[in-house]
Amino acid sequence: MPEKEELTKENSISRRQFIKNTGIVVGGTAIGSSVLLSACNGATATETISKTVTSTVKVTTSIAKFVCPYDSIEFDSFAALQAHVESAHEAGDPVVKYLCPYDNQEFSSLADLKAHLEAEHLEAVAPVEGLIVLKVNGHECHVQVKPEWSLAFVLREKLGLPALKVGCDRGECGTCTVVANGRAIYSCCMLAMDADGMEIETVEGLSDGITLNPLQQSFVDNSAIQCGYCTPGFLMAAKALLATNPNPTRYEVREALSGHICVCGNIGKTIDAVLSV
Amino acid sequence: MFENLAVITNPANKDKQIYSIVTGRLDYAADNMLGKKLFCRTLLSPYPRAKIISINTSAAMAVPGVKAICTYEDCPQWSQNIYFAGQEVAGVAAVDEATAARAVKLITVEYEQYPFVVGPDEAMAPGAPLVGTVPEKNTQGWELMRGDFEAGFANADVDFTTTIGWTQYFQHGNIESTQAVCAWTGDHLYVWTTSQNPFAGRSSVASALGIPQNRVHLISHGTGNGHGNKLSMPWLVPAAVLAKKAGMPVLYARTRYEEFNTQGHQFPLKATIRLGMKNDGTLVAADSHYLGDAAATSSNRSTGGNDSLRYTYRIPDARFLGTGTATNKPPTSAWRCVQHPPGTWISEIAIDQAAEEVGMNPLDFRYKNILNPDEVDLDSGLPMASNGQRECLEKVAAAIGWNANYHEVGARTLEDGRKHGIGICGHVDGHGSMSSVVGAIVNLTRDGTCLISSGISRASGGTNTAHCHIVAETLGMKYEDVNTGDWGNTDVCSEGGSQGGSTRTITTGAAFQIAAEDALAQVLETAALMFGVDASELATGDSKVFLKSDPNNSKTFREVCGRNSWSIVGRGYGWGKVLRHREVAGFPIGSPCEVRGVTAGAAEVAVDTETGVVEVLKFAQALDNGRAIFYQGSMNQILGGCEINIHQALFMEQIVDKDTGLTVNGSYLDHKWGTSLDFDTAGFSAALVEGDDACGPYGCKGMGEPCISNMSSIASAVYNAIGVWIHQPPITPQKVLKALGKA
Ligand code: FES
Ligand code: FES
Ligand SMILES: [Zn+2]
Repeated sequence: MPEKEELTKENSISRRQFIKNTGIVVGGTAIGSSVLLSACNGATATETISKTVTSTVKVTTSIAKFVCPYDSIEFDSFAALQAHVESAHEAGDPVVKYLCPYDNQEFSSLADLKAHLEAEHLEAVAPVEGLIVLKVNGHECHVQVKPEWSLAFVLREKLGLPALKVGCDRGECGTCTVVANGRAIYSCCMLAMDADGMEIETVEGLSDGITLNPLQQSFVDNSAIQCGYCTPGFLMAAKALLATNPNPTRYEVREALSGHICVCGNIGKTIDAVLSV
Repeated sequence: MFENLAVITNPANKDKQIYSIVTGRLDYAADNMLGKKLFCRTLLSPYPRAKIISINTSAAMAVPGVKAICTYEDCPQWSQNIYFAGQEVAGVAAVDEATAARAVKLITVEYEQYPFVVGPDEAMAPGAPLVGTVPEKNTQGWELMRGDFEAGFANADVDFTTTIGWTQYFQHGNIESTQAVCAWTGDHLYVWTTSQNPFAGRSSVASALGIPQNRVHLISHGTGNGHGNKLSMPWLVPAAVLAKKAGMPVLYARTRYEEFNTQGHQFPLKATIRLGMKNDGTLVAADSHYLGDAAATSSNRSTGGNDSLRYTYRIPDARFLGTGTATNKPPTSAWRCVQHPPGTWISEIAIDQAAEEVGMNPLDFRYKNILNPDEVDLDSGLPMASNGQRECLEKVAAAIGWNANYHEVGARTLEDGRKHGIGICGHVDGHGSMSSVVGAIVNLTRDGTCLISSGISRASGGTNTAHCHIVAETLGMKYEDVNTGDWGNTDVCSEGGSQGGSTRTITTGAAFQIAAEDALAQVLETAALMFGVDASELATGDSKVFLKSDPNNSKTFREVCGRNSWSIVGRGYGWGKVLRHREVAGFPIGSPCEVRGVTAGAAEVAVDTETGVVEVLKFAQALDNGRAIFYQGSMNQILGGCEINIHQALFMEQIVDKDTGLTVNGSYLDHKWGTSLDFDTAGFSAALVEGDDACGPYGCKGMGEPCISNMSSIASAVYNAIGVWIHQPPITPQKVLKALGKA
């Protein structure tokens, strides 16, 4: 009976509650993004500095050379250099030099190089307007976005990840759900700019597509699909639930999926699938 | 009849496309041309009845990022005459949606406005403004006479009349809105669309644009449900026109708001039903008049409302009338049927009320009056290829615990203070039937496996998979050896027909059975050479060909198919609506027949008389689909139908303001769909009745529509709980409180 009481209590506000819980408030998003935008345009704001530092690491790591201190062979990454030193020189920690790609000055630490870049080459390494970094399914993706583009649009059209579907594009149906920093969110309602730096998981990342993960397998075992268009959203909502609550009650599953619409009438099967993972 | 089936009805068999769905790899229209396409927004008419005098798009065209604009002047799908608020006036293709939306606001249109009418009662009244979709009038009539209804009533002991309706107007809410990607290469058009009839999409675009069909290459793979909203595809032509003008691929996708305002809707019905009965409850006469609100279409929409009364019950003398009216609202279309969900809501409530009039339990009243499987259709005189109505009622009655739980009206209160009620309904309709013959192609590979090409999309779960079952069973192959090849692709498939009327498993399935028989004959011909016997001495099973006289003497399909230097192709075109494999009601094999959708539903509810909230505690459905070709898909259809019945009975309604013709609740939240917290599916159940349809392949028939027409059982259950009928769905808390005199 406790479940029943909860049900009555929550019944009427479930979906709006869900939107609220995702932390997506459209007005708030707009304000946040405009701050970010002006920060990118301006030259001195505090945000600019922090953005610059982040970008500097990107730029530097992509073009800096890592030089072996023993034989001067160049490597593209620190990891490659480390592997080389360990195998070729049987030495302790390699002494790494950080080369500035603009004037070839050497530095002994990445922090020094960053400071140098900020001081001397700010223009060259200044962030491109609208360039954001998303860690999508474990891959770091640098993508240039416009302020009004949603995360859903960018993931689909700019990063070529069409598994997430758009059902309403306005926060009503849950079809576009992805997991962002561990929480299920409506990607149609998050501006891509606000997702800068976030870890995003989509259905493409659930498995290699050959061996299914247990959640996908459970959808198969329970035949929990019809037209399949809502399925990616339900899968990601379930993924977020199970990550924090591996043994949910039936009511907890119903609550976690209550921000989703299934027009084929497949909610029952979906609940069964999540409960039997 | 069909014993020893090896593949069909096997509950372990999975949907052939389930892996591509759970991995997110099934492609839907918008998943094509990623990163390469333009996006559109549409200007909708704010007036329900008007004529466009002029359109100025120059300011919109000047917005950076706008690539093309079309209006009625260059889009043959559109009209200068406006019949509803929400009708498309101009489309803009731009680099992204935000840009297109900004441009749409800059288009200026001059309209000449005319009087309009939104409500059906008002539209039917004398002197009403003309809607414009039906020439010179708003209404259209229909009539069917059976026997002598006046004599029937004269012979009746009890004469009972009830008026029920209007039922609600609502939108399909397809989770994938109506949309297509179009791209041109030279004078060839490539289309990826959501669809319930890919081949009709191809022909409609080709004829609208005046190009031959072999220059339209249309693919409809994934389709985020249709429910009747995607049978015709008015979004294809603007998509193609904009893509041509822009010289770039275009995604023309209705926004959720546009979907509510421009696309198909369920139409409201209202009826006055008069029933004549003997004192023992035997129905003897009916006079039924359905009114239909067709909105801005030219259809009648009232005629099929009578179907459930006509097909389900033994009523010898009857008059059936229908009057449809047009109104200036966004158009109506089929919604999992053309009329039965609202028509059955009305007729089954009327049956319950008639039962009470003669003092009978609603279930016993039905048992007494339903047609039996050996009775013919009372209007056509033809046998019904299967009719498991009694068994369906028995199954849902058992599932709901009818005998233990049915009580006098208002007699039971639950521990938590809510009122308890149960209700039942059932009906026979015109669905699941064999429709016009279509084509099918079966390809055997030279390693002895099989691919089928089906000319339909994946608009619902499992029809293509059902076809794989039929092909595997016919060829004698293992289920895993038969897969879907391409489907919904007009370049490589045979015409698959309209995914409406619950007809694709039976109709396209019949074509696949013949195609598989064609391929099988070729397999046996090849094998006969290898065995050195006549083909008639061979049989197949478990992906092997063997001697009938010595089943251990066998060759695998791989060995047989590998012998030829070509791969075997089977073609088939199905058969008509005839008794194909058994006699029915004394009619021999080969006789024309009726194929009927048959179902029953039962609900148990708790009604909170303080808040008016109705909770469905249990919902049971049973359906006679002849034979469950694809078992898991069949069960999903019935269980899915349980949820949809509840959406219809309790939640869905689109409200159009009568003064302006504008929709006031065009969103998923306000035009509500229930979610996982609105009902608990733990109490839902599905039961199959396998009536061995005498027409369908392996005795099957369709099932998609009948299983969403059982929502009146919820109205009956609410009546059983609180003693008041709610005649107009959805049963909202306000209506319950009002019925109880509390609001
Ligand atoms: S598409 Fe994002 S909530 Fe509907
Ligand atoms: S399976 Fe079609 S909308 Fe959920
Ligand atoms: Zn119907």
